[in-house]
Amino acid sequence: MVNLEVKAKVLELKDIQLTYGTKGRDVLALQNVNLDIEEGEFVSILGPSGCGKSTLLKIIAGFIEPTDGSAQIDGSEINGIDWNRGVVFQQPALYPWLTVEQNVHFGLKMRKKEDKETVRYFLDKIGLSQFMKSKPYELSGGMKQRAAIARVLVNNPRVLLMDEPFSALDALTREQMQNLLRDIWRETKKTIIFITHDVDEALLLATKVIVMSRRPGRIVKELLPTFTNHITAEDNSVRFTKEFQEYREEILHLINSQS
Amino acid sequence: MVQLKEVYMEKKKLVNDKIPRKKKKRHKVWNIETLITISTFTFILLAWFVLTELEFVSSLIMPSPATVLQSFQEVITTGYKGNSLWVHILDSMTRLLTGYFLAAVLGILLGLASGYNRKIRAVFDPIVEFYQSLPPLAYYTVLIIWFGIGDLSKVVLLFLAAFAPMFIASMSGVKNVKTEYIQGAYNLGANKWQTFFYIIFPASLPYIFTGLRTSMVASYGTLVAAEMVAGVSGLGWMVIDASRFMRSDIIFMGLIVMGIISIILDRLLRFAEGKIVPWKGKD
Repeated sequence: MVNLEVKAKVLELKDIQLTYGTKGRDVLALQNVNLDIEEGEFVSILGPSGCGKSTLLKIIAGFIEPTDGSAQIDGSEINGIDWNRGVVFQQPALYPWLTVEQNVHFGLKMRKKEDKETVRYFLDKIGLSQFMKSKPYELSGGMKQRAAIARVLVNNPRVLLMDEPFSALDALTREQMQNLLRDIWRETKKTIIFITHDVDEALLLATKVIVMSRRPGRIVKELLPTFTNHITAEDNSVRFTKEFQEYREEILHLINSQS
Repeated sequence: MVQLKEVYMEKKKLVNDKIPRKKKKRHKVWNIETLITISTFTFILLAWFVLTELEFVSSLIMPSPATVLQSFQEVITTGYKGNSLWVHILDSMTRLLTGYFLAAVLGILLGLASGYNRKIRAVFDPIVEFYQSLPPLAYYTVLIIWFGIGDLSKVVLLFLAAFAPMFIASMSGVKNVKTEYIQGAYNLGANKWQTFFYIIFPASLPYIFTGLRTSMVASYGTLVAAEMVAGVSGLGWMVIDASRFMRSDIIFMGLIVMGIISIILDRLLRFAEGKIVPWKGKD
């Protein structure tokens, strides 16, 4: 599986540092984070809770600015929120006053690029065509999160940022969603950055797994698993292989050894 | 690609199997609670009837249902002191709705602006906070000096009484919009104004409706009180004037009419709320 193609660097984080100032006491949340992400990579950021992995995603999304260091996308400094870095939140923040279709259309409408066909295409892709006239509160948790993913995808962003998007779902729905996301990634070749605290989820989806330490969050390991390439909806037996178990042990060891 | 399509088809099936079934809400009119409510009211009416019929209490303290009904007919047809009941209701409602409507428009606008912008909030919030702690009748005195004893001072009074809850509710509506809603909007490509109009305003609507209902209660109460203090027409005036002449039947009739109007006004607002913010409490 050696890839000899030279791929474009999409995202570059250099010496990212972040301190929270809470009542005179500065808390160091992120320390010396260096990360390069290439086009089409599926990057999973793993770490114990409170390690600053969501904070890192917020920096990439432009919700917050790093205290120090630089975060660049396609060679230019990240400056504020932009639709080119589409975010899927842990809780799908769909707008309850809009229908599913209007929610998915929202980005295009705001950008004055109205295009109902693209909306239909993505609704079909995520299997919500029949629910496009429904209101978000009429949908199940998994369906809501599908709509939230479609809402970001219609914009055709450069990077897809996902902050523990499946952690609130039940185990069965989560697996369906993982397969759906993998299919979308294979088909659209989007660069995806996916925050999770679930080791299996990271290994089953990502082509690059970043393991972070407890606070202050640092990157302690970069792994390049290939399991995601061998999984189909019918066959996910790679997760029972010895190699998978070894990866799993290694990551768990990395996380647990720091406490 | 074909395979992928199949996968999607299969997933669609899966999703279809998991359609959350809409609960069929049957509006049963005759459930047990309705029966209890009806029985309660029947009991009260009956007790009222028996008490007055057997002359346990004097008709001055409690007029019989029959006399109240009679005075109702009388006030509708020949009127009370020259004006029909409808005229009194119309006078009261004109004052109420003029003040209320102006307060709703301005209260919502300034409340939304104050919730969104700290500098605007710094101007209006302290003023509202100060005067809303005063009982409306206290500053009514000043309003009478400024605007005379007629309708204008009453409309201004009702405006002020309704404005404060409207303003406060709209402002907290904006402050309570989920951060994800706003970040999400910017993230999907909306600009500042779009985010305000398409996200912050609709997201504040549940709060705004709470404000609309609270201000209705506040201004209705103030209306009746103001008419009692300084009025020549209206429901409040009718009741206070009747009390001066010991017309208990008119007082009782007036109170019942006031109650019914208040219920109708609140029902109308709740109906509008159900139509406009069907997601309230489901999100």
